[in-house]
Order: sequence, then structure tokens, then C-alpha cells
Amino acid sequence: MSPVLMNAAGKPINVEEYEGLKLVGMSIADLEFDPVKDKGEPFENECLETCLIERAPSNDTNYTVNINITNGTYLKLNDVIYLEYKPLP
Amino acid sequence: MTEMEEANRHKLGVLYGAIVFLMLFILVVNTPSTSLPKRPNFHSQLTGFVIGSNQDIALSSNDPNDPLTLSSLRLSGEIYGAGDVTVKLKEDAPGWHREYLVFSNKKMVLKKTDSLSGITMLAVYEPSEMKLEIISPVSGVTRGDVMPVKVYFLTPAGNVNRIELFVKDAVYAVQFPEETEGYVTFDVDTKKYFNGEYEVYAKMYVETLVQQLGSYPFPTITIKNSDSKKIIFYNDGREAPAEESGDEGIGVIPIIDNAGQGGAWWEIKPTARLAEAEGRLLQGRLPEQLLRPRQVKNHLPLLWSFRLQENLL
Repeated sequence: MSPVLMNAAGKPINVEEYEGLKLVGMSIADLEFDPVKDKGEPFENECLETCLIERAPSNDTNYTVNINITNGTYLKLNDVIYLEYKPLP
Repeated sequence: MTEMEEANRHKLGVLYGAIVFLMLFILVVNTPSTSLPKRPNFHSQLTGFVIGSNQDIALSSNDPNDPLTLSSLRLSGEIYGAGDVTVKLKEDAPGWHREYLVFSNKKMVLKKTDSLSGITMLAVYEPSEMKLEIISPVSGVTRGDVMPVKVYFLTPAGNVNRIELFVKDAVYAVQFPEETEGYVTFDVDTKKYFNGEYEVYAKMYVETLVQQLGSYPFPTITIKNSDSKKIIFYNDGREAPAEESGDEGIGVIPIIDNAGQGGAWWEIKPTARLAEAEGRLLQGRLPEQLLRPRQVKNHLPLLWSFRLQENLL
């Protein structure tokens, strides 16, 4: 099953495939680098266990990953790990 | 090439093809999607997304009977270019809105040394009105150095107001009762033990900008272990919180500051029982927390958290 990518308004985000990579909202022609061959500056945040995401009072919760990026800079997401609340049986 | 060799080659080709097909089948079947209909505890996903402009990407469940309820998010990847990248997680529910800063590369890059490999900011519940600036980011830290991290903050209205420092498995938190503007400085000292282990020494210094006299409530210091289990809860400089923490003999030394403006120094002297708990976390040495609220302006809350991503051992 392909990931369902939507913007905050619930509309599908334009995704272009390039050698297994998904270029979100842009064309490979727009890139100033080769995301397959070139190596960027690695980053990783660790927000598991110690992160303090609060639990909303309702199960009807919408989550949005907001990415704000300077023009001319690109973010390549290699891995996304998220932890759900595990309800008690 | 004999017929037998050709037949063997054909069989080998069929075998390789079957293996590749099986691997692809397993990969496809086991690849989770961003919209997950099931509810395992952890989800891991290789995304391979390249993003070059501002984006809002929804994380949701396809099954209305099995809604997604996140408790944390971890991202990894690469950044191309020298610009700023900020990633936030927004959480919306009826009557509920939260924003969590899960990554930012603004001024937070540590030079790689033999003691600390990096620093990662982890802000949680960052109200949009909050102002926060890293005044003195850590750089060029070596063994035994003190890392000063000074943070200016101006927090908006709300209920939550805490600044947290994650060092190794411990969490050092300063909690303000109301709206606050000021500076928080975390000094983290790394020292080498004779046996090759390191001590992590953390000291917090809080200075608020505009004075407020009289009945301003004292801030709270909280230390948690890696399971976020509270092992000290310290919410009032005028009395030891033994009843609340379950630990005995936690000393409190309130000192009115020189200007007599209602501020105080507090020093926590953990007990032997607490020392055991901390010793497991910090190689047997205890951190010291100093807190000096002096001047307070407005009443703006803050929940700001960051983690020192160390590589000490």
C-alpha cells in the first residue's frame, strides 16, 4: 500500500517518483543535486520515549507534519518512526 | 557448454528469481504506510521523501475505528543546502491544538569532538507566540569542558511552562508557574573518570528579566529517569518536598538575592536513596541544580525541551 500523503487541507500532495525516491511537490528538474548519489548533511532527532507529546482529550485527532524549509535547501527524509499510545486491554 | 551445465544454469536462474521475488513480496507486505489501519506500538517507515518547499503532510489512519494517537515521532535524513529546516508536529482535535518542534537545524550544530557528537533540539508544545532563541549554542566541546547553553525565552499565555534539559537518561526541568521572560543557562560539564567513564554535571541557571516582588510562586525543578518516572519533585523553595517525592532529606537552601527582590537560590542535595537512583543514570555522580529566579515580567508559559545528544562513553 502506498503512503497516503495529504496536505493539511486533506488534498493529495503531488509526488513524483525518482529512482525510488518520492519528490514531494517538485520535479527532479528542480533539484540542484542528485538525491540518490549526493550525500547531504545527516540529521536525526530523537523524540521517542522522552518526548512529551500530550494526549488529546479526543480520539478524533489529526496529526500534521509541518516542514518549513528555506528556499534552495532540501530535506530528504530517510526514516520516520512514530510511537502510538497503546491502550490498556 | 554441455546440456547439463546449461540445465544447472537454468535451475540456478530460477532459484535466484524465486529468492528475489520472495524478498520483494516480504518487503511489500511488511512495509507500513503513513496511514496505518492497524495499531502496533511502534511504526517505522523508510520514506525517501525529498522536500524542497514548505509542506504540511498529514499522518492519519485509514480506519475510523482505529484512530492514530501518536506519542512521539522520530525523523532522520539528510539536509542539502545551508538554509534553515524546521519540522513540527501539529496535533489537532476538537478544542485542542498543540505544536511540537521535533527538529530544527538553527544554530544547533555541535562540532564533532571526542566527547559530544551533537545536540538536538526537541521542543514540545511550542505555542506559536513563543519567542525562543539560543544565545550561546554549544560548539567545539572537548572532554572536561563546560558546555554553556543559554536560551532566551518569551512565552505566551497558557498552562504549561517548563524548560527541560535531557542529559543522558535524566531530565532536568525548570517549571515556571506563570508567564515568564528571561534566560535559562544550562552548563553541562563532562569529566573523565579514571576508569574511562564520564561524569555528566549539569547546572541550571535561570534569570528572568523584569522583577516581580512578593508572592510570586517558586519554580519547580523536576528530575526524571529515562522512563519519565519522577524521582524528584520540587515545587516550593520553602520546604523540602519529601512527601511528594518519597525521598528523604532533600535539602533546600533558600537565599534572598542581594537586591532583596524576592528571588532565591535553591540547591538540591539529594539523599543517599536518591543518589542510588541518580547513580545508575550518571555513573554514580550526582548533578547539581541551581536555580535563581530574580526578575519576572508578564506571565507567559513555556514548554521547551531539548536533548543533549551525547556520545560520552
